[in-house]
Amino acid sequence: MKPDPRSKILKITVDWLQPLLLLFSLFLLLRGHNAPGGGFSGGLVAGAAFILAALARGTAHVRQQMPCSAELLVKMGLYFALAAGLLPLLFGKGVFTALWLESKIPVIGTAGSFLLFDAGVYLLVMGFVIGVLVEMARDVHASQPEAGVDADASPTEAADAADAAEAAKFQQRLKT
Amino acid sequence: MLFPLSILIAFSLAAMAPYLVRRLGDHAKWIMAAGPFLCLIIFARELTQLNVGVPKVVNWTWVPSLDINLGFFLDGFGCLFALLISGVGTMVFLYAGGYLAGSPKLGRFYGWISLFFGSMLGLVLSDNILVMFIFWELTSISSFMLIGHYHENERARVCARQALVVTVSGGLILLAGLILLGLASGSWNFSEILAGPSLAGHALYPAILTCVAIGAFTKSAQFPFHFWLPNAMAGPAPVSALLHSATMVKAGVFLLARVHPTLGGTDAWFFLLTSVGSITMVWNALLALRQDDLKKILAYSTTSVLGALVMLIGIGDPEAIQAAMVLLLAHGLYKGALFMAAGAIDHESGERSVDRLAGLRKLMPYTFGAAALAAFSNAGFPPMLGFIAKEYLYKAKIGHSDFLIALLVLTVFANMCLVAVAWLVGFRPFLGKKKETPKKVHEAPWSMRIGPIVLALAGLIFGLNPNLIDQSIVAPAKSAVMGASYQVDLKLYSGINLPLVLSAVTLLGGVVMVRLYPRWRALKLPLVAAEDVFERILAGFLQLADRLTRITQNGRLHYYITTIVVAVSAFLAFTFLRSGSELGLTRVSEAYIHEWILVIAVCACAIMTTRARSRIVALLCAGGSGLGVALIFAFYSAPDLALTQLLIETLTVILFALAFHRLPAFRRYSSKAKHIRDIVIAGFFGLLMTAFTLVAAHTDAPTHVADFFREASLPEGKGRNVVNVILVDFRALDTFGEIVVLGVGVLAILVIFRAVKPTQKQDNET
Repeated sequence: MKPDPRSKILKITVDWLQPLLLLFSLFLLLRGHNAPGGGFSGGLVAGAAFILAALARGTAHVRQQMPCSAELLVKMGLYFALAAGLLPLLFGKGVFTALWLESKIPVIGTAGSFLLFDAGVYLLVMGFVIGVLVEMARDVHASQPEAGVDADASPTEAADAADAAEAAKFQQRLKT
Repeated sequence: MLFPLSILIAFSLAAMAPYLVRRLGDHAKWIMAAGPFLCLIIFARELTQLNVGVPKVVNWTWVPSLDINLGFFLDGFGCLFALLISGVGTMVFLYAGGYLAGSPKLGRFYGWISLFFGSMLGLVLSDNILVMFIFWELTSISSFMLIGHYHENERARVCARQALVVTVSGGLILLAGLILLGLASGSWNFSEILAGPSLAGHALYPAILTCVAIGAFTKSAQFPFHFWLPNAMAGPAPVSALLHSATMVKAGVFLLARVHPTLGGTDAWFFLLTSVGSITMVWNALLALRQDDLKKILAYSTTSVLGALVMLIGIGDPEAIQAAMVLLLAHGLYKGALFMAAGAIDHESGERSVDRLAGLRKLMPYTFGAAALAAFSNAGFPPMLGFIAKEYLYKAKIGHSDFLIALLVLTVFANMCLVAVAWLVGFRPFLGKKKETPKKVHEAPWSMRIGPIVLALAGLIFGLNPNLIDQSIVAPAKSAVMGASYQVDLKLYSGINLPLVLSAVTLLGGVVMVRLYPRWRALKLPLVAAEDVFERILAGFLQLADRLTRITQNGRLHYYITTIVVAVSAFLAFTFLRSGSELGLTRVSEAYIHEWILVIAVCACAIMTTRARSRIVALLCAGGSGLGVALIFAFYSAPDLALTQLLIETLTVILFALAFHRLPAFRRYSSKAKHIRDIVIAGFFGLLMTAFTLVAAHTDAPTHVADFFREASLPEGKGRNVVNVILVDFRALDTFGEIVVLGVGVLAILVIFRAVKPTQKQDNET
């Protein structure tokens, strides 16, 4: 068995840092309406948290961590934003008119349809970062198969193989 | 007031069709055919309650700001069309179930043909002209899908595209015409436009007439756009039977007749329509006899009849319109039956060439019977409805002027050709000695027999008993097209007169044409086909686009950036020189020392990026200058920008670092001369931007927008972070557009990654 080339220090640091970053990203999202922050920067931070994990422990690890695929995040983000836009129609108002909750919610404060919209932006940006960067990062490891024969290498390869099969199918569809 | 329901029935049928076929298989045809039949009953009921001159109008508000109402109206002419569409539709829906039995694409087919059926009904029933246009385009789109039904076949795809391009580009011109019509008449509803005065003297009249006529000519396959219709035979037979006999191709005729009270009656109208119509009529009748494919013969003969209809509407006197209405009905019935019979022959024998078909009468007796009856009608044999139609067609032109007599001669000649067509399609495949065919021939299933038989019999019954239709159907239609009330009394036999003599001459001439058919077909003519011209123009467009793309999208990042920077600099410099603004140099001295240090650091980083000898150094330097910019944002109290800039910079560095793994070794590509050129361009651009910043700092720009946002943010957006309130509330629609772009972008990137990867892996292995 070859030694794991990845830095142990980085791994442990990231293990601690990742939850904190995710928490921070939520904080950014929620405070965005009154102070610097918002869905866009929050989403970037959340994405960065996963990028760190991908660099420290490999993309297969990130794949296991994520409850859903990056595409789903992107789609959910779009649906959230769309819902925020269409929700006012139910109340007889124009598209994207802001709606407000009467009472304040603890921790969050004033809430309304803007939060739904911002959450959509958050999810979409996060999905974008994870989708693109993790995909690229995986390619980096895939092109150096001898580098990572550690515990998570076999799931990486399995995932890659599954992806390759999917890609082949896609190409076939392109041809027909 | 039930009639708009028919469109709803058709569209819901379209939505349910795939499900029904999946659940019921081939039995779904009975439910599918029930839809048009229901529509037929609705229209028959409406017909009995129809008052001449008082159309029924139903209006729902849809887009009031654009004067678009979801308005429908029913007059005698619309009702004639609706009856024809739903009658032929019922038969064709049933027929399609047999024709495509067991096909996995049956559900899809029913979906599209129901959509087409609904759009066609919508087209003839629309009151609002823009709503009519929407249905008009819907018929083009659904017919595209139907003609391209066998999409595995390249020829079918090409033909479908051709039909789409011709009809849709005509549609665009029609849209212009309709808008002009709306503006000129001051109303967007047919019911009001038709009730209003004629537009013949209006300044916009020539433009309206040209645009509307081109729209109608493309849709109804008039010369020189006639070529798409025969090519549309690439679709399955039920499509031809519905779209290319009674409905889609008649939409142009419908439109011309519809606007006849408003636009008709002028010399321009008369000569435009009669000349185009008569050329189409004669030329396509001749072309029909140069084909050997059953469906193509029928297609060309259809365009010929369409030409006759356009010509009649062009003449536009009561007799001509009456002839047009009868011909419309007769042609829909017999051509629908013939298309279905030809489809049945093709389906059962696997052969469509008239040369290789013979002797099917004993094997397909029912189909033969129906085809023969329909062919009699087509040839204008008494006592069929086609005979009456032809009598009135001749009668409409007799003794008015020299020009009309010339038209009469042409019409008689075209009808001789149609007699030959009737022989070729209705009799020749069935008579004589049996020839070998690819499939073993047997009679078509009942579902495929009912349609042709019913339509052909209808032609016979209406021919024997013209009183069934004259006052009830033809008179209201004629009155609607003429815009005045008329009585109609159709007679099968009206004594020995010139039309009857001409009919006899036509039949005799038809026999001669049948004799001449092989020789005429073998004759080589130095013809330029309209289709080739069209295809060449299309190819020219593609070539032009190809060349433009090669110039503008040559794939070099360097080239793109240079173009963008040079173009922006040129525009900026031009504006700058013209406005002659003052530079706000005085404010430069207000900068603090730490700001100066930061600026110098950013510049140094940027210069080092270009001088770096390895990628990683270049990357770090670029990141450094980005961080510096973020700090500047922070100094100038834009924390949101600073935060975002910082995050983006970080992620960009990671992105580049990952991308570097895929790039070849670092090299300097540019020559010294190129370097100097780039330095000049970049330096100039930088100076220009600096100058602009200084100008902006100097001038007191109008800031009421900024003030508004600042003041409204807390009370209306309930947020203190103005930037964020703008993003998620005031301009949420913009943000939404941006994130949609972002979302589509990421999906595209992921797809590309996955599509490229396997080849890369193979490369690694080899």
